[in-house]
Amino acid sequence: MTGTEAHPVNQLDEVVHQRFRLGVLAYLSRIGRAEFTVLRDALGLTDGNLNRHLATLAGAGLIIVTKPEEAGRRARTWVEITPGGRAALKHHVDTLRRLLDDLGAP
Amino acid sequence: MNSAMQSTARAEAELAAVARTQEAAHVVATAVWFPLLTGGIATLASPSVIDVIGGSAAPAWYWGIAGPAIGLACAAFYATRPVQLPVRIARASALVAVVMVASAMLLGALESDAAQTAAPMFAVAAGLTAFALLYRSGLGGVVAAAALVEGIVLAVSDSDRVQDVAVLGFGAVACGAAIVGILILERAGLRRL
Repeated sequence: MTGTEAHPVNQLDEVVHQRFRLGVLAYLSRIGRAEFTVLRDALGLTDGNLNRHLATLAGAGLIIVTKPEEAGRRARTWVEITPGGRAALKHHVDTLRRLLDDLGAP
Repeated sequence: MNSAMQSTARAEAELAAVARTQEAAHVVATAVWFPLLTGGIATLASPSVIDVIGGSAAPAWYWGIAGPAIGLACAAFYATRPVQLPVRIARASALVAVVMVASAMLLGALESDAAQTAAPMFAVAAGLTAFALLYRSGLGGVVAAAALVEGIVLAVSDSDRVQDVAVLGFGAVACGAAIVGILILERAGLRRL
């Protein structure tokens, strides 16, 4: 591995590193699961925007999205983080901390 | 140098945003204000209702109904929230609640008057401490300490008036902590309770 490839900034996963996707993972990491509308409101996104980010995260196996089997007023779409998602978030945070250590080194 | 400072600032901002978001989610999921408010209101109402019921068994009747009712209300509250606790926390909470209510009721059936009055509060204090640890709640810790103080006062004092003040004091602390919990939720900008 060359010096450039080994630099922490190049170890940041683009799936996780996006601001709103990182926000989704951070929000879900401390809880069991959250309703779709809670994430939407907490992150200030539209339904469409959040759906796109959730699809990217689910495609990478970082979250699970459970849609209601039947439509209805009380039907809820739930989102929860997977063990892979927790690991990815931890890796991202650790990488950022290494980056700060590198930048802070004399 | 300039881009390094910008990278540092961006990384620090990102880490701070992650921490803030995690804490906000934790606050919403734990929502400690609800159990504190229901328990506090039941406690504040207890002297008057027990007087109305009358008789030496009145406290046992009151708390025999109020305790499980609070537990069921909290279970329904948490089960229907749009942000839910991890399953292991939910199960541990249910176990703590059952043990706390059951042990308080059993201790309340003891023969000694002093033990009958004070011992259940020690069970409640232990249960609230467990909840405070499970939910990482400072507010829960304060209310658990207040429960312990009430138990000690009930154990050492023979005065009905002093005991009533201790009960009302605990109820006031619980309700006050609940209000603080709601304000914390509001400040986090999370209005979905």
